[in-house]
Amino acid sequence: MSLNQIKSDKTTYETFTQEEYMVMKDELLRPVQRTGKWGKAWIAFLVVVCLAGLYAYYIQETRSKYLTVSLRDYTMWGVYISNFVFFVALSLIGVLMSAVLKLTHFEWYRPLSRIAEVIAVAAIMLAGVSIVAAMGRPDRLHFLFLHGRIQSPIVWDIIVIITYITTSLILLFIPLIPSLATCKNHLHNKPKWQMKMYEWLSFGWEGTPEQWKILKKSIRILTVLVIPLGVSIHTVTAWLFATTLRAEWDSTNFGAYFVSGAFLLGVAGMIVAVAIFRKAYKLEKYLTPMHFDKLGQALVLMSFIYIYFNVNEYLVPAYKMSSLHANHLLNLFTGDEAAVYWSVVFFGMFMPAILPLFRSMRKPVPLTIIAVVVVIAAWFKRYLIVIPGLAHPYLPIQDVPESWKHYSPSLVEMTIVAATFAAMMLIVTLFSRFFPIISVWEVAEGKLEGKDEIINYK
Amino acid sequence: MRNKHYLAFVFVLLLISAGRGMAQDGEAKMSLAFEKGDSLNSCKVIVTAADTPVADIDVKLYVQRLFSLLPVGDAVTTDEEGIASFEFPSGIPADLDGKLSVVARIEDDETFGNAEVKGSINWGVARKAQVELGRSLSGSRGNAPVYFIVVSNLIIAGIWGTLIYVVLQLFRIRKISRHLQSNKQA
Amino acid sequence: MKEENEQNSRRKFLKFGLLAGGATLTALGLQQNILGEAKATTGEKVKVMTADGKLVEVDSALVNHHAADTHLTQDQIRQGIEGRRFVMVIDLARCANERKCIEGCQKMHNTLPPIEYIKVKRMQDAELTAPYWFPQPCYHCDNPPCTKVCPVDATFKRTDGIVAIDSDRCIGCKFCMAACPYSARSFNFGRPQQEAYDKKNPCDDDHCCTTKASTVGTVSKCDFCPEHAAKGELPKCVTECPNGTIFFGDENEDTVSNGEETFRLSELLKSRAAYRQFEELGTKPRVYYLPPVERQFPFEEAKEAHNREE
Repeated sequence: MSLNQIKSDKTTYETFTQEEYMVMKDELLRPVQRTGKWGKAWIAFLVVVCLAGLYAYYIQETRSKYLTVSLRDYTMWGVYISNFVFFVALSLIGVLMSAVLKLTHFEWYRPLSRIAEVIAVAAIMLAGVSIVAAMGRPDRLHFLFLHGRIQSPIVWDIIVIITYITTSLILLFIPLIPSLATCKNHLHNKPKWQMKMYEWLSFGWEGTPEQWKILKKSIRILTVLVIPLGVSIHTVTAWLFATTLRAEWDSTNFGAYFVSGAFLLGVAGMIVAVAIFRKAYKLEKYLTPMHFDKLGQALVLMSFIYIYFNVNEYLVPAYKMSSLHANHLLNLFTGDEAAVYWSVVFFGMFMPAILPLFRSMRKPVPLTIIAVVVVIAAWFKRYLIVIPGLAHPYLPIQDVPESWKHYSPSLVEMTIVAATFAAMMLIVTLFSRFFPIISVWEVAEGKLEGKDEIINYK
Repeated sequence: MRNKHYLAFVFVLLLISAGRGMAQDGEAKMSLAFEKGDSLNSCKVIVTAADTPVADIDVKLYVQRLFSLLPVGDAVTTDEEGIASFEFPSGIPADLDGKLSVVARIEDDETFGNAEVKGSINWGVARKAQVELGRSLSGSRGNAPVYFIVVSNLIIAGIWGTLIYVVLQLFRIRKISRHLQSNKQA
Repeated sequence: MKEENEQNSRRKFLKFGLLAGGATLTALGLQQNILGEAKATTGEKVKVMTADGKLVEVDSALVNHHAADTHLTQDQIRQGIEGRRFVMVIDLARCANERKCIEGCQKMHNTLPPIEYIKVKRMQDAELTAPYWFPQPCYHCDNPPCTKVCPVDATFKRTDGIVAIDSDRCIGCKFCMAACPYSARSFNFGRPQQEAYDKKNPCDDDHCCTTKASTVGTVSKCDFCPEHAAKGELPKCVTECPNGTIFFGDENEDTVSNGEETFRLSELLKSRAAYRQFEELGTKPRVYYLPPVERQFPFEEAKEAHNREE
């Protein structure tokens, strides 16, 4: 066995036998081997929502946008842009839940890393889709490459998104190589093209010590690289706003504020994903209550960091209440958006900061409920960052129709947003139906090395 | 529609010329003389009618600009010799060739109606020619600041270089395996 | 290329005609005829005045009914008019919210309400200070936050100070709109009324400025009407104002004019204590305001709400 070959010097840990390894392989390959009735229904549902989104986009692009979309001259950016920010934030899950934990030797990352990375890849793709949906002339998308100005934050964003997608894909793929060899050798009754795909993608993996050495080295380089990339992708996204002269975005704090929010969303998203995969694919043995316990603690930490940045972002300007900031801030605190704003503060920050402090709240079910609420609040948080300020520019809005003053997304816009969510989940689901969603070798390696955290968790 | 506009325009022109004809008793002739002084330049407008100087008539002096005539001081009344003297201010921007087009006018005079004379003098401050838009963050694609291009390209090259290196490593994995296979076969 | 040259020479020819005639007259029509653009005669006669002031009657088809062919090439649009630095001065003491500048501008640019490239806002700085009317076009800033963020060079600063838009380049990301602290920009969402109006009134070369408002999915705004400025004509917002509120001119000539009065820019700004809106933002606008002191009209509230129709 290849794993045993290189780890032969560590066989002092008598915790992991060949039989156990075979059982584990079977369990982790099960969702790939067979898709049940509910699994198919879920995929069908996601496909239908995606198609509805495509149809909505067709309507948006063929009819007058004045009628299909609620955007007007003042609120010229709507849910597409806030959705874009949300997905970019979600894509940082790969940085946090895979790279950071790996580098800091939190061994419980092992079954989580691939889930995090595939969500990251899917999210960043849908971030790109959201941006295209927001464009007035998507037929001129290639102008970005023909006429791109390096001074423009949008061009920075395009560059960093392309780089991040590439890096994430490679980082997803490299640890997948041994798993692909496993798939090739252990899956049966699969269509020929699928087996050929495994064969082709596994890059002639045989698990020789030299191959392991190259694999580990590549992973280490990428793991280090993806952290600054992830931070910069969300920082540049923050700069799309902070480089303007508008009061609501005029903040030196914005990059860090966005990144901290993304980490909170990342932990919450991870909890939801773990809960779903655990139940749907019967992976309770690998995604354990220990993971919920640890993620719950991480949620508390990230919430407090995010609260800290929010205090800086809102309360410091509110203390000064300069006339440039005043109408935007008062609109959030006591005006039209107050209900949404305070709900987000309570459900999106204080609840996840306080409830998981109690051990009973870090059990799978309560923590999952908390995480779902945090994810929803996180989406509305991006809405609050992007949109209400636009309706409160420096110079007063006068002599315009009613619809120009207040923005509420149209049916077309909401359908497209829903479709981006469905597409994100579809990508993750399909991935998990073709490749083991938990890295077999990484978990085995962890067990083999007898990491206390995994074995002795009570 | 446009026809109507033009007809109206032509009609107005006709009216103006007709009005002129009625009010005008004689034709005033105007000429310009420029005098360069030590501290102040001056411009003299000489008004004559039938070769005799016209006194006590208001003359206005202008400089021709893109959209209109810029008045140079207030109106000046001619003296007995038919001369209106204007102090000519310094620092008026001239055309690109450094010349100022000066216009002197008699406007709506009871006896002479309208009269005008044009002259050109190189007293003005030459207007700045094409201003080059320098390199700046708000400049066009070709005008990005050099440091900006250098730094951003270095960052991009560094990151993509690393990515390419990693991908090349992947192909080493495949190579090793093929090497093994050929060994086995041998 | 050849076609472009021909256009150029023709344009020069037409300009010459303009200078000689003082208006767009027979000369133009005749020259066009000489150039070989044979037109069928209509039989309809029009009276026109020739360069030397004679009145003649010619066939309507010979008269160039358009002011002149002033369509500029892409390079000219991006370069700017040589040696000019356009500047605007708005005298707040004169604005009575008659909204004629808005109407003139809308006519010029083929836009329908509620799209206004120049807006007139009711401003009141503090509770006890007097309200005033505030005409607000694009400020054509010298440190433009909008051109800074444009990803594709679709909006750009020209040497004549104008911030222009190339609507064939714009990708509709609206980043420039987000970046503009003055909300001066407008997006063509393809409002059906506007679409129908565009079809009925196609944009002629003589009648529209460089910014084509009719391109759906792109950003447009006040463009200081450079094609008219090149001909020595003031923008419509300036000429339409019954009170002479808006002055326009060339900073290099140190002169602004509202069509009736002409001032030296530097003296006007000095004597009337001019200011620029939100100087602290560092955008360096090319539009100056003269404070609303010693007003020509008492302030009157607007009698009706404008642009209510969706």
